[in-house]
Order: sequence, then structure tokens, then C-alpha cells
Amino acid sequence: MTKINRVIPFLLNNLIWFLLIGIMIFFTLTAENFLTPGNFLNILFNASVLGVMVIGQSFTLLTGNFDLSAESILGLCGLMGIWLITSAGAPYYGSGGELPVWVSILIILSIGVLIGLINGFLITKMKVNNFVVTLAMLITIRGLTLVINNGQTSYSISEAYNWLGLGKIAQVPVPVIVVLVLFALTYIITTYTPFGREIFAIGANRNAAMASGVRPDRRIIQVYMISGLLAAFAGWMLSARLTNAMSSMGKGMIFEVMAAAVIGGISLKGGQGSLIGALGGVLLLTTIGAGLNLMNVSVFWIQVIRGVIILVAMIVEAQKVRYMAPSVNASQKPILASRQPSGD
Amino acid sequence: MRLNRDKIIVFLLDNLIWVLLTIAVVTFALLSDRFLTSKNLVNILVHSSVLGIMVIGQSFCQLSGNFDLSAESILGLAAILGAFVIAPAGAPFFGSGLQLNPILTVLIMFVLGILVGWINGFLVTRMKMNNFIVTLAMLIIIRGLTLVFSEGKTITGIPQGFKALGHESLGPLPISVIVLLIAFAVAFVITRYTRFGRDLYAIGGNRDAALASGIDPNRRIRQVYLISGLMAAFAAWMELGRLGVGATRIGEGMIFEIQAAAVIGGISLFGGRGNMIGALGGVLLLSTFNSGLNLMMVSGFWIDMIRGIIILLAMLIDAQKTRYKAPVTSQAAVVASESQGL
Repeated sequence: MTKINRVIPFLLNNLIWFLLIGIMIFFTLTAENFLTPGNFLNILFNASVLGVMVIGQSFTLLTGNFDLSAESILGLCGLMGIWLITSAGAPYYGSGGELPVWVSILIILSIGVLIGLINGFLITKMKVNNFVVTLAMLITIRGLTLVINNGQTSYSISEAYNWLGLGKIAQVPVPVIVVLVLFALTYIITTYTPFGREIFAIGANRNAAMASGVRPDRRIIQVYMISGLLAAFAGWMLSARLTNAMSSMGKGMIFEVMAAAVIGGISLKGGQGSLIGALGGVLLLTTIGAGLNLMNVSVFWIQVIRGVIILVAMIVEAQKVRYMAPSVNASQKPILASRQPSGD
Repeated sequence: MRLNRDKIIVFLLDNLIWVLLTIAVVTFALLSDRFLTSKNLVNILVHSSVLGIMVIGQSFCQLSGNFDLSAESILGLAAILGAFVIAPAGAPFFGSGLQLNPILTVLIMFVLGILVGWINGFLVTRMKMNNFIVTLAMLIIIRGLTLVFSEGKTITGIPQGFKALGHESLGPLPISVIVLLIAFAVAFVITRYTRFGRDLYAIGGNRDAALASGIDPNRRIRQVYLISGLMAAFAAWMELGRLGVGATRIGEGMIFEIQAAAVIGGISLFGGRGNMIGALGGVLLLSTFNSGLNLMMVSGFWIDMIRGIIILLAMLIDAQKTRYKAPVTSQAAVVASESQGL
């Protein structure tokens, strides 16, 4: 009896991994060539940009905040990274600045951090709602991306720049290594450092965190800077892989980023979830895309099926919360309830 | 004396959106002599109409403390479905060849909107799922269905009668503008003077308290999702008339603008606060900026960016208003409660 009581919460807590295994078994049985090392590397390769974005978003979500602007930061920084290092006019359509690659990368990463700082400042110091701030920023930055290169696509021929997207270290693509290292690093930061514990505390109950000496405003500004930095980095990664950057790069991606984080167990209300779970969410979405591709499902249908799977996963998740509620210590409920009014 | 000044300030703050709109109109009128012409003003209203209808649906949801992100995809799917069933088959039309009667077409679109709204409401209330996630997933699914359905083609050959809603004028005013104004008036009356409306404010303000006072929040939430789906389908009809063709990308990314307009207009994201007239102000402010900047020959690329900055500034002012009003209202609670209205 006690065994079953222990097994069920274990299954539920690691639901994302069981879903992932289930999906993998399904594709192994239905699609040829699914269970090959090449295909697995491919899945990880495709998961890398989304993964970096999800890490950034997870930091803000853990504190109970959104960063909708991340997709626009990815677009702006991806474009600027190439734009700064290339010549003007045909055939590359850059700025003509032809800066060294490392300068360009430093600039785009700084831009990401700066936008994060502005987001964080407006939210904490000017007390504007985080959803609205980052929504307005999403629109503003996307506009800026269009303005910068007049809607033109920039092309990169710099091998140094493209290395982050296309390079390989001992047969393993660089983005795969980078994203796995980043997940490991951020898992350690969120789980074992005071900074990590504080962002969980802020997300779970901001007032209680403040009472225990945490400075929520400072931490929230920091998570937005992290989110901006990672979005800029993801922009570099994506434009390096494509070796070009359109002004619409990353448009609409925020929906997928949110979906992956939430499927992976990062609560939208803050204070719950882990980076490892978020990685699971990213892998689940990417695996479904890859598997359906192998099965020659039309691209249009893939989007529908992905959406349905997100929905089903969330239905299961919601039932899990309902099932587990009675077994969880009753004192947790008021904490969740009290978060709603202080949600901004 | 002191009380009077506070009264004026609180009044201005409560009607901030109209103050901003007046400033915007005066500024553009000074900068461009083509701005304050009846033709341009009508144009602004025409451009507000589809957005406005969408904002009404979203406002119902937001008043109850819920999002409906899927609205933009419902708009897209209803538009492509409507065009598909009404248009002739084969190139250059790419319709189904059914050439259904316009009334039947509109009914099908409405049924689709209501159906998606019903699913949203069911998942949010019966399955106890987070509304943001449900409608986010629905946004992705329905946009995917739109792609599957249209295979990326643009459908033409839509009959004139069907297009009238977005295309024709009654006297000096386009039908879409008249419909928009009536829709906002009706929505305002519903939210302010009916039990349904008062329930929404109560649920959005404090769900537990609403429940305790005998309101069934889940039933009301299911109803607002039905309304939101229906309004999105209605907006699709209007948009089809305006554009004249059914394209796959109709409404894509529009949700950001819808929420921005609603929030600028004072509809709180957390429910329970704001009113439909303010939301109309938010819609008009965004459209006024589009039109004014266009007349000033600002490039489309800059307009996007400036729009974002305007939204940000408006929200910045709004946040400062909330901070400013907190002490004032406690000083002169009576004054505030009189002028605050809803």
C-alpha cells in the first residue's frame, strides 16, 4: 500500500520523462530510422535554440514573471550579429561596418542584457505589469529589427560567426554541447545557489521572501537580464545555423517557448518546476516534430498535432495537480492562493 | 479648494485614455493638414473596426480574469473557412465549389467560433486548466488547422453580398463602423447594467467572494469564452469583406495588439476592472497613431516600433496613476468612490 502511494507521486512528478519515453517508443515502432544516433543528434540539434530560449524564460517564470519580449530580442540580436560584421548592399546586405566577429557578439549580448535591464527596471521600479511591459517591448523591438535593415535579409559568410550554429566538436554539433552545458549550469544555479533559492522563494510567495530578507526587485531585474542575455545568445545561435537573418526571425516563437517550459513543469505562477523538467519539455516538442517529419506528415499537420499534444500534456498535468492536491501538505494551498493578488 | 483640485486630477486620471487620445489627435492635426478631414477620420474608424470587435471579445474574458489568446487563430480559421465554403472551386478561386448561400456561410463561421469557445471554456472550467495555457495551445492548434485547410493558398471569388459588412457604406458611414459603434454600445450596456455584467466584475474582482455570494463563476467563464469565440468569428466576416480574399495569415500576431488595446483602454489583466468605453478608447488610440504616422509618411517599419513605444508609455503613465491615486484616494475616499464609477 505504501509502495503504491510512493510510486504514483514519483510517476506524476516525472511525468514529462514518461511522456517523452512513450513518444519515443511510439515513433520507434512507427517510423523507420527514428532510433539512430544520427537522428538523436538531429533532435538535440533542433532543440538547441528553443532550449536556450526556454532556459531564459524559465528564470523569469520561476519568479512569477513573463518575458514575452524574448522572441523579439532573438530576432534583433540575430540580425544585428550578422549585420554588424558584413558589407553593405548586395550580396550580403549588412551595415558595411564589417566589425570583428567578437566585437559584434559582445555588442549583441550587451543589447540583450540592456533590454532585459529596461524590462526589469520598468517592472520593479516603475511598477508596470510584467506582461504589459514585455508585450510592448516585443512590439517595439520587432519594429526596431525591421527598421535596422529595412526588412532586408543579411547573409553571413564568417566561419567564426557561424561556428556556434554549424561547428562540430568530435562529431557532436556545437549547439548541442552548448545547450546541454547551459541546462546543467542553470540547473545547478537554480537548485544549489542562494540566488536560485531566492528566485523560487520570490515566485512562491513574494511577501514572505521579502520578510525573510530577499530583495525581490533586485532579483527580478537580474532574471530579466539573464533572459535578455540568453535570448541574444539564442539569436546568435539561430542566425549562425541559418547563416542568414531575416527581420521576422523568431516571430511567434514565444508561444512555443512558453509551451515547452510549462509542459516541462515550470509553473506560470512562479516558484515551481526545475530546469531539468524544462529540458524535458523542449525535448518532447522537438521529438514530436522530428518523428512526424520522419513519418512524412505534412508540415501543416505537424503544427496541429504539436498543439494537440501540448494540450493533452497540460490536461494530464492539470489532473495530476488535482490528484496530488489532497496528498500535499494543506499549508501549501494558502501560499498559492495568496500569489494571485501580488501577481504583478 | 484642495478637494476640488484632487477631484479634477482623479477625473482626468480615470479618463486618461481620452486625454491621451485628445492629445494625439491635436498633435497630428497640427502636424498634418490632411489628418483632421472627415475622410481620414472615417478611415481611422474603419481600421478600428476589426480590432475593435476582437477587443470586445477579449475584454469580456479579461473582465472575468481570463485570457483568450486563441481569438486571433479563430479569426484566421473562420475567415479561411468562410471563404472556402462560399467561393467557386479551381484556379483562380481555390474555394470548395460549394458556393453556399452567404447566410449559411456566416452561420457556419459562427458555429466554428462558438465551438472553439466552448472547448476553451470546457477545458478551463471543467478540467481546471490554466486559461493561459489552454488558449495558447488552442492558438497553435487552430493556426495549424488553418494551414492544413488552406494549404497556404489565397481564396478569392467571394460574392459582393457577403463582403458588404466590411466593404459597403450606409450613407456617409461604412457599415463596419456603424456595427463597431453599436457593438461597443451593446457590450457597454451588457457589462454595466445586466446581472451577467455585474457577475463578470465580481468574478474578476474576487472569485471566492463571487462564489460565496451565489454566482456560478464557471458558468460565467464558459459564457465569456463563447462570446469571445463568436466575436472572433464575426470579426472574421468583417475582415473578409474588407480584404476581399481569404488568406492563411489573417489575424496572425494580432493578439498582441488586441491585448495592448484592451489594457491601454483600462481593462485590467487580472480581471474586475475597466469598462468597454475605455477599451474603445484604446482601440481608437492605436488606430489614430497608425493613421497619423502614415500621413506623416513615416515608414511602416518605424510605425511598428513607435506603436510599441506608445503602448509602453501609456502603460507607464497608467502605472504611475495607480501609484499616485493610492494616497489621494485614502485622503479623499469619498471623492474617489464617487468619480471612480466602476
